[in-house]
Amino acid sequence: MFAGEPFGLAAKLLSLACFAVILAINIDVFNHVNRITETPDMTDPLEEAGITVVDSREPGKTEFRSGYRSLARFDELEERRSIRLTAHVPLSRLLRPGEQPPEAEMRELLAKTRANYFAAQECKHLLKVLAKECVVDTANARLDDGIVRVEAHLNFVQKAGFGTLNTKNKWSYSTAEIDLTKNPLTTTVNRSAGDRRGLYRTATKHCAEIRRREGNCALSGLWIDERPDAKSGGYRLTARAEYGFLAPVN
Amino acid sequence: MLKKIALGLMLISVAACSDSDSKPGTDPANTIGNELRGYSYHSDVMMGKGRQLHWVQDAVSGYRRSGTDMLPAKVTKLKRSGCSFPRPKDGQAVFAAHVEGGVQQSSIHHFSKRQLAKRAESFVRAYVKYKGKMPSGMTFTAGSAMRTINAVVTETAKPVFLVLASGSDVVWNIQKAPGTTIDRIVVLSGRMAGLANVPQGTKVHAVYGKGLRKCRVQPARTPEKHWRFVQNVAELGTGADKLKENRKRASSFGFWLRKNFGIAHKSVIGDAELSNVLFGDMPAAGASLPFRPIAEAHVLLSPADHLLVAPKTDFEQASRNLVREAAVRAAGGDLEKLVTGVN
Repeated sequence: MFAGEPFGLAAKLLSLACFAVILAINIDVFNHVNRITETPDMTDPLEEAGITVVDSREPGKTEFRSGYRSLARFDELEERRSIRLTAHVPLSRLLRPGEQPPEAEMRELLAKTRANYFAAQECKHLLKVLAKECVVDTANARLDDGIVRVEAHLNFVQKAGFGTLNTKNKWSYSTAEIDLTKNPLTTTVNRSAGDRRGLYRTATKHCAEIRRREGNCALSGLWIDERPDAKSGGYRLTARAEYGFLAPVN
Repeated sequence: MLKKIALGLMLISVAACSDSDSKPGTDPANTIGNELRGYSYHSDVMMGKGRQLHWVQDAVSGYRRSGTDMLPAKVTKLKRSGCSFPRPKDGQAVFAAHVEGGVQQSSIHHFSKRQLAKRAESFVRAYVKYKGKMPSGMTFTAGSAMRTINAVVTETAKPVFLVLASGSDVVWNIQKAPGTTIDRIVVLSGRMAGLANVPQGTKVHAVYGKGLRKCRVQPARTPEKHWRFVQNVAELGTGADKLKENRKRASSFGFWLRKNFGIAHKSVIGDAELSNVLFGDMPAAGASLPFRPIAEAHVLLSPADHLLVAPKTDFEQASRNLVREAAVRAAGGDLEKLVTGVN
C-alpha cells in the first residue's frame, strides 16, 4: 500500500524500528518475569547435611554444575534425572484385547495417546530393575506403516542407594559417561522391550562398579535410541548413561 | 407490564428481521486491506468488470450479510463432476470469478476426520500436561465456517455461463436478476464448495477437493505488485521460487480458462478476500434485484466427514464434544487413565 507513496520506505523503516523496540522491551520484561517466577531452588541438601562439596557450583556463580542437582537430591524425583528413550512397537500391541484398530485417520491419534500407556508400562519395567519411583514426563509417537515410534521421557529415583559420605572429608563432584552399547545391538519389535531391560541392568551394574570404586554413585541420565536398520530389517539400538559421584578431596 | 415488555421485544425482533444491512457511508475503495495474496474488502463491497468496486446494497434490495445464525432450509450433496468440462455455447455470456475467500461467515461448518484427530491430539496433550485439570478457558474445537460469496448476475441480453473458482471453503450465493438466464455454473475448488439459490434449470458442473487435482486444474491468480507476498520477495529476497511457481500456475490456469471457456484470465473478477461479485452491469437506480439470503435457501454442498449446519455457539459445543469423544476413544474409554498411566 505504501509503494506509490513518497515516504513509503521511511514509514516502513520507522515501523520496523518501533517493532524492534517494542519486541526488545517485551523480551526484557518476559525475561524479568521469568527470572521472578522460575528461579530454581539453589539450596543444596548435602550442604545442609554438613557435606562440603567444593565444586558443586559453576565457578563464580550460584548455579549448580550440570547434573549436580540430581545427585544432591538423590531421593527426589528430579526433572533432570531422566531416561529418554525411543522404541518401536506395532500399533496392534497398543490396542486392548479384542479391540479393533480405528479407521485410518484416527490411528495416529490412538498411537500418540497410547504412547502414554507405553511409557507408563516402561516405568513399570524400570521399577523392577533400576528405579524405586518413576513417572512419565512426556510421551509422543509417530505412526509409520503400522509401526509406532514412541519417544518417552521418564523421571525416576534410583533404587540402589547412593553410598556413604562423611562430614570430615571435603568432596569433589565428578561425572562419567558410559557407552552401554559399544557394539550397537540389533533388535526387533519383539525383542526390544527385553533388550531395553538388559540395558537397564547394564546401567545399574556400571553404577554399582562406580560405587564400589568411589564409594557412591548416582545415575543421572540414560539415553536409549532405536533406529530402523536397513541392513537387518530390524532396529539398531544404542544407549549411553551418565553418572555422578563424589570423590574425597585430599 | 409483561404485555408491554413482550410487545417491545416483538417490535425489536420484527425490526431486526426486516431491516436490511445498510451501506457503509464511504467509498468502497477506502475499505481495502492488504493481504498476502491481494486485497481484502469490506463484507459489502462488490467487484464488477474492470475491477470496479460498488456497494452490494446499490445492486440488490433487502441485502443481509451472511451470518452463522442464517440456517439454510435444505442442504443436499453437490455432485462431483468429471474432468471433461462443458464449453459455453455460441451466444452465451461467459463470466468468471476467482476468490481466495470471503469475510462473510455462514452457518455451514465442517471438518475432516484428520482435522478432528489433530484437535483431539492437542486435547490429549493438554489433558496429560495439566493432569486432567485443564484451565477453564482452554477449549478444543475442530472445523470452521464456510464463507459466503454473493454472485450477483444482472446480464439479461444473453444466457449466462458462470465459472466460479475459490481457494478456500466457499458457498456461492447466486443472486439472479429478473430476466436473467443462467445456463450453467462451473464450480472449481481445491477444498469444499457450495452453491445456494441455484435457479431452476441451471446446469451445474462441480469439481472440488482432490478431484480438482485429478483434473489437473490448479486455479491461481496472477501475482501483482501490491500483494504482500510479492513485496516480501522484493524486499526480503526470500520466496522467489514460490513466486515463480505461482506465476507459472497462474499462466497455466489462464491458458486453461481460455482453452475451455474462451475467456481471458484478466477478465476474471476476484481478489484475496471478496464477498460479492457482479456479473453484468450495475442495475439502474431503483431497479435493484431482490436479495436472496442463504437463510431458507437450498444449498448444494460438497461432502464432508463432519458437517454441522448450526449457529456458531451450537457448532462450537458440538465440535468440542466430538473432539473430546475422539480423545476418550483414543484413550481406551477413560481419559483419567492418561493421568494415572494405568491402561
